[in-house]
Amino acid sequence: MAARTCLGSAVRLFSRNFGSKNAPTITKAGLETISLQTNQDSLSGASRLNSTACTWARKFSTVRKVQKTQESDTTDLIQLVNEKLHKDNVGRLFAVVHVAGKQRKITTEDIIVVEGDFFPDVGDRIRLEKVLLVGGSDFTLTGRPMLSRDLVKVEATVVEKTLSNFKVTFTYIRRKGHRKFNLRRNPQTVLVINSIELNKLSS
Amino acid sequence: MNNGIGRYVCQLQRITLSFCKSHADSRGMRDFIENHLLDFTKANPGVVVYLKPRRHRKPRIMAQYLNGYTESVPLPNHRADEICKWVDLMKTRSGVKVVRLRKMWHTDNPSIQGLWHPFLNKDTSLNIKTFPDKEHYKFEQNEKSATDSLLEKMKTVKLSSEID
Repeated sequence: MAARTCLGSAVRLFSRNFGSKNAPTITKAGLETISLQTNQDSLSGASRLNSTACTWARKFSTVRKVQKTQESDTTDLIQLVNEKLHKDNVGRLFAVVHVAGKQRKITTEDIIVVEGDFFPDVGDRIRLEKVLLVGGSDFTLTGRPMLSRDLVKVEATVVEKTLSNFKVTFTYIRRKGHRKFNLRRNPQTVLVINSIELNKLSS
Repeated sequence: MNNGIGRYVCQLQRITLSFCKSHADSRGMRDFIENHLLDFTKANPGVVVYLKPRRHRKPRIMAQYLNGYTESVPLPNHRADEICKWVDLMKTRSGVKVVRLRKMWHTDNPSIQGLWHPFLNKDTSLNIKTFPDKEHYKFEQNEKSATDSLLEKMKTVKLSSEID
């Protein structure tokens, strides 16, 4: 994670290893490297939000200096991702989707089990619409909080609807004659991820 | 298990309904056979249905799946609608044995961007450092400390006193 930039609408883009492997990836003349101690007071308005993100990065990540990128650099990043998509060499994509109250990290051909009541029937092909994040081998798109429907399409097939194993609920209070024994099975739905499709980013 | 990657195939191969023609605990099963079974067979032409009347035996359903797994569910004194549900459950199952799942997720490709390790994105100069290193163990301040602000104030006071 070398540079953290804010795109116009709803996408934050982390660049990773576009060029050389070790160096921070986007190093251009236009970049100004801000050290937070000195500049935080002078930051104002729109960049205030960015600065909180920077402090966060400073506290919890391994990055020492956070680079503040400009508009032109975000468009460059978008172009790089779009070129990758255009050449069809994106390779395997992964995504973080929100299904039935849980977030799952998935790639194609993954199997996930949804617990509890889930409406779709066996054989249905469904689209997982709450996509929080999509990544390839060298880029990641993060939604704030979600990526738009036009950008990503994650499809899955319902393969199995079954019941879980027996779950035991046993309560016992000693010397009080209280003893309850209960067995239950929860409904489970098995999904197979068919595809993760990523459309071009609009700059 | 590659079902569903291309298209979905119903994994239920055969289902056997065994019941008694006279006994009271098979009444629901008989009711199901009379009223609902034909609907089920029409909706699922790929499933073979056998009826197996046996005198004075409990009613039960036996489901056989494409992977060779067989499951039997005894259903004495169940109503027809309950049996409908059980038959439907047998249809929607894949024939994998029901066990406690440790993870609700299976993948053949656990990592796309590479596994994280503690030296990821670290400066390579750390490789040749000897620790403890003064520079790296230094406390970094995000805000001005109280001592600093006091010292600054002192400076201004000194300056003003000098001017006077």
